[in-house]
Amino acid sequence: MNITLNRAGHFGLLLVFAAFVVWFAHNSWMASPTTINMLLIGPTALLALGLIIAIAVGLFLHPERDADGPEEENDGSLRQRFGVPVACLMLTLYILSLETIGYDIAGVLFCAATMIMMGKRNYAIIAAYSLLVGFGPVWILQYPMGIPVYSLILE
Amino acid sequence: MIDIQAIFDAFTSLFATPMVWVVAPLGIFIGLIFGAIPGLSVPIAMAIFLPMTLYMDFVESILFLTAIFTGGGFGCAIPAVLMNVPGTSAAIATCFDGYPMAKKGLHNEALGLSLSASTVGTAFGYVMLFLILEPLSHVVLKLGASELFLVAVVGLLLIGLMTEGRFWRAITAGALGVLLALIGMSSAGTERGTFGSLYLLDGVDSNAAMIGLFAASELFLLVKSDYIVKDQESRKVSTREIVSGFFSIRHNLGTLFRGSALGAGLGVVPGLGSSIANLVSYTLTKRFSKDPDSFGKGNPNGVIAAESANSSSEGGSMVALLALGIPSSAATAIMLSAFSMHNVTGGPRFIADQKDVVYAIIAGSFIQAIILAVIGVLFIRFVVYIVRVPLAYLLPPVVTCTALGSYALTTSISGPVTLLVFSILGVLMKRYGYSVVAMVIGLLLGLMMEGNLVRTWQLGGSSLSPLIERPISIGIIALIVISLGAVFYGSWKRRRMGVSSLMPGEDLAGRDA
Repeated sequence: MNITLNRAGHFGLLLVFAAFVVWFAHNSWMASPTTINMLLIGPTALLALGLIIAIAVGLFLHPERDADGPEEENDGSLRQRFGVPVACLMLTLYILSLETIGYDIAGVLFCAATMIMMGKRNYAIIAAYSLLVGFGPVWILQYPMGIPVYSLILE
Repeated sequence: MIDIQAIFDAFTSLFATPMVWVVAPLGIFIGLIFGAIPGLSVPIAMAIFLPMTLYMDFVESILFLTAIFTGGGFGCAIPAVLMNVPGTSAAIATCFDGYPMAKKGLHNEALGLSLSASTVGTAFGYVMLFLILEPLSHVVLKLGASELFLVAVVGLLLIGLMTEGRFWRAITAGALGVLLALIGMSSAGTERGTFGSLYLLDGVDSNAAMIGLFAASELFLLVKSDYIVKDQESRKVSTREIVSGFFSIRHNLGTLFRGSALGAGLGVVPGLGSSIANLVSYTLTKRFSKDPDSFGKGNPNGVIAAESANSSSEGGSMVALLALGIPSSAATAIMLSAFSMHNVTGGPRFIADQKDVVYAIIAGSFIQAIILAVIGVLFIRFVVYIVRVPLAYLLPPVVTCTALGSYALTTSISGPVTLLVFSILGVLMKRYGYSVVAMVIGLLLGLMMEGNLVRTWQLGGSSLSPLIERPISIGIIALIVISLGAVFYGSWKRRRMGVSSLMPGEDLAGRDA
C-alpha cells in the first residue's frame, strides 16, 4: 500500500469521523434508547459509518487515490510552506486566550503576531494598528451594542 | 382577490408618512453593515434594533425591519465576493463564482451584478407576495411534517448532486452535519453528546460553525498572499465598472427570473428560506447551463442565480408571517415580535380586515428594493477598496470580528471555540475533498429534520407510513428518485467519456470515492 503523508492524513480524518459517529450514536443510545430519540440518529449514524468504511476501503484498494495533496503555488518560503499550520496555531492560541487575558488584549496580540508573520516590520505601525483592531471591536460590542465582553483594559 | 381601493389607500398612507422614508434607508444601511460582517447576521441586527420600533407606528416599524432584512440580503454578498467568506448562510453559493470573479480583478462587476440581482430579486419576491399571498398561504398549510422532512432531505441531496465526482464524500459530510446538529438537548429533554457541558445544551451554534468551515480555509490560505487580487493592475476601484456590472444583468434575464422565482417559492417553506434557496438556484442554473464547466471559475450566472434567489426568498418568507401569523425564519420571528408589540396578529383575518396595511408593507418593501440599488452602489464604492488593502492589515480585523461576532451570537466562549474547531475541520475537509457546504446544510437542517421525522412517526401511529401515503410526499420521493437516477446516469456517461465536473472551489485530488 502506498502510504504518503497525504493519504495518512486522509485515513486520520476518516478515523476521527468514524470515532465521532460511533461515540455520538453510543452516547445518544445511553442517554435514551427510545425510538423517538434514535429515529434520525440511528439511520444517519449507520449511513455515515458505512460511507466512511467504504471510502477507507476505496483508498486502501486504490493506492493512487489521494497520494498527493492539491497542487498549490509555493515559492519555497517559510510563509508559503508553513503559513496554513501557523495560522491555525495562532487562531487556536487567540481563541484559547480570550477568557484568560481578555478579548481586548488577545485581539491586540493576535493582530500584532499576524502582521509580523505576514512580513510587516514597522513596529510603530504594528503597535498602533493592533491597538485599534484589538480594542475597537470589543468597545463596539460593549457599548453601542450592550453585549458584555470580558476585557482586561476596557472594563 | 386584489383590492384596488386598498392599494390606493396603501400608497396614500405610505406617502403621507414621511418617517417611512427616513427609517427605510437607515434600516437598509444597518442591514448592509450587519450582513457584510461575517459572524453578525440580519436577525441580530433586527433584534438589536427591535426596541426602536416601539417608538414607531406599525407600518413604519415593519418597514424598518424589512429594510434591515433587504440590506442584509445584499450585504452578506460583499465578503462572499471579496474574501470567499459568506456573511450569512444565504450567500454560500455567491462565493462559488463571486470570489473567482474577484480574483480575476472583476470585483467591481461582481459586486454590481450581485447588487442588481439582489435588487430585482427583492422586488420580484414582493411582487410575488402581492400576487399570490392568499392562494400560497393555503398551499403552505398543506405541507405536513413528512413533506418538510423530505424537502430537507432534498436540500442535502442537492449538495451531493452538485459535487458529482465526490457524491459519497458530500453525503458523508452532510450526514456528519446532521449528527452534529443533533448535539444538545432534544425536544424530548434528552441530553446528547454534550459532555455534560452547559454550553452545548443548546447544540452547536450553526452560525459560528458555518463561518469556521467557510472562512477559515480561505483566510488561512490568504496568509500566503499579499493582496486578495494578486495582479496590481486589476486592483482598481471603478464606479463605472460597478454600474456596468449592475446593468449587465440584462444579458442574464433567464437566470435572474428563475432564481427569483425559486427563491420566492422556497422562502415560503418554514425553516428553509434563503439558506437553501441560493444553493438550489445555483445547482439548477449550473445543471441547465450550456457551459457547466465554467461554473466555479467566475461565471456571472452563478452570482446572479445565488443572489436573486436569496433576496427573493425574503418576500416568500413574509407569506407565512402575514397570511398565517407563523414565522418561517429567525428574521420573520423578530418581525412577529414587532407585530405583538403593536398588538397586531398576522393571519387570514389580518389580511381580510387590514388589506391596506398589508399592501402598504408590500409596496414599501418593494420601494426599498429601489432604495437598496442607490445606497448599495455608494456602499460598494466604499467597500471595494478592500482589494487595495494589504492582507497583513486586512486579515487580523476580519478574524477578530469573526471571532467576536461568533461570541456575540452566544455571549459565551462556546461561539469562538465552535469557530475554532470548525475552522480546523474546514481546512482538513477541503484538503480531502469533503464538501463543507454539505456539512453546513446538514447543520442547518438537522434539528428541523428530526423534529419533522418524529412528528411523522407520531402522526403515523409509531410508523413512518405518512412518508409514503401522502400525495405530496410521494411526489417529493419520486422527484428524489428521478433526480438521483438522472445524476448517476449522467455521471456514468461522463466517466465513460472522461469528462469531469466538480464542486466549485473544491477541485481536489481523489474524486472517485
